[in-house]
Amino acid sequence: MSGGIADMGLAALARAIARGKVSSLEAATSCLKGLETLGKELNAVAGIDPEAALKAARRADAQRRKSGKRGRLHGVPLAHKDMYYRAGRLSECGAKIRRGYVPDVTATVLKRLDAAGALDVARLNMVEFAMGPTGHNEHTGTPMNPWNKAHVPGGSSSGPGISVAARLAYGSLGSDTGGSIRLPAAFCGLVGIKPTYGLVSRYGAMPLSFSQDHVGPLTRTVEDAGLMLQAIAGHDPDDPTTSAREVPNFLAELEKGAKGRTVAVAEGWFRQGIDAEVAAGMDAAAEVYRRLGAKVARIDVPSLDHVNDMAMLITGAESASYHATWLRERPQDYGAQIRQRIQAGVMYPAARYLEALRLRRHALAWFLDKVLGKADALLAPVLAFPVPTIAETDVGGDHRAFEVVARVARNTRPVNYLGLPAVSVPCGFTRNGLPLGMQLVGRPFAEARLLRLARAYERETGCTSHRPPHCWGG
Amino acid sequence: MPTDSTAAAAEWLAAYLDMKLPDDQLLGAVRTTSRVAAGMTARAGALAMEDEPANFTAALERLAGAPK
Repeated sequence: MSGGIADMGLAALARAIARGKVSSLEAATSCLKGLETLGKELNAVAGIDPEAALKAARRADAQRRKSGKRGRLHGVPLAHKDMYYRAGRLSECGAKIRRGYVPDVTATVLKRLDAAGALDVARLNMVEFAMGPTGHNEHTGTPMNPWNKAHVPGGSSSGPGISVAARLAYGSLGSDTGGSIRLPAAFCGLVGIKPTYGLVSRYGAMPLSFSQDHVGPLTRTVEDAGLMLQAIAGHDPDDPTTSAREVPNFLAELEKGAKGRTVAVAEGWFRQGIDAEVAAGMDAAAEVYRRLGAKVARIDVPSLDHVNDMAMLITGAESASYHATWLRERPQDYGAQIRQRIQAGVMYPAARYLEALRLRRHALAWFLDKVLGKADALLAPVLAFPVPTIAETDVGGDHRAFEVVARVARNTRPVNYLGLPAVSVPCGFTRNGLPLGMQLVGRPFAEARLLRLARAYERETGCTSHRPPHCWGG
Repeated sequence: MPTDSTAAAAEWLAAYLDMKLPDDQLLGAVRTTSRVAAGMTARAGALAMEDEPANFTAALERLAGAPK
């Protein structure tokens, strides 16, 4: 069943608003009603200010009529993970410790989306301090997957995954330190981009592991993802880790297809312990690329266990340094699992932490040579098994917590350590009716190439045209 | 202080956070540290002249480009 304005993609809505076919007020009203009802039912919403959102929408409409559009996202309602600071507005990071926190700075990415004309209509739920791959949150309750409420939506950008899939927002910023954009994108049937380290500013975003934190969009289509990335990418003097490279036009080659490109299908380490349904899904995706004229090669990916260990160690050490004061003064205010994981970080020796950082360049050069030496993209599963239920992964702070986290983020975490770009794309469904996601991992700053490959797959399969059963506007 | 054993990890945690944890909660961090240490031993010589980690964005920029 079509959902009318709620069912439009971000890019389609932006074009319709620019041409005066629909108003920003209509779109914002639809989102706000959805967020207030279905959004709260699925526990995706951290906070909404409807009056401010509607006022902004009316202003956008008036401005368009008077002087044309402000930018490529003019009047489009977005909503973001509740960890992007906006001066004077609550930002609670899914954490009891941050309740009532009002920052005095605005994140660079929010400023850039504002400059592109987008509306920021809600704060969305997330895993406490962005530290968990399933979506569980002891303080705010665990959000539900719009494809099946008994299943996790993925984390830590749980609210963004749910809200965009359920047609409650047209796009959303997530953050990805070990898979937190790609996992909810895959679990909820969306497109998600973890950009190259240094492409997008983290200034004004809550830090988890500053060496591995990445900011990126979750959207319903590939074009939508490219549009959002275009708006937020580029050097930021407030984040010295950002690259000064010129930002390419991510949409320029979007429709040029996969012909002649090389896709490496990940075997070896990525096939160890993989569920047969997921393996079949990856093979089917590879077949689509072959049909589209891409050169498809199978690659025996060497073990990335050591890469994952170093990523875990860096995340642990950096998060422990950020949280040390609260750990001493308010340990009881953390969820059990989060506290346990942060405490582990305290125990890593400084020398080991620095070694793990210094090995990054070597690991990157090795991976580019061995795995991506002859390929435009590595095609690998985001998750090695079907999306689990909330109950199956509800382990709290007991001894299984590390195992669950390691298992769910196994395929995504190495890419954060290596700093490489990756696009999560839906590629069908498993027998439990939940979406299946693949990731296309590319060479540094190759986002445009990855988006082109993702778009070729999307155009051929219609993979982003499915609506979940719990969906606004139906 | 090395944390390659649960006893050392427990001691460090007590000193740093005034906190006590059972061995099974210390074991994950201790094992990760040991595995990273083992990997580093094999690479130690190669790291002697490397730059500091802050240059990672520059490394990505240098390694950008089309596949071979």
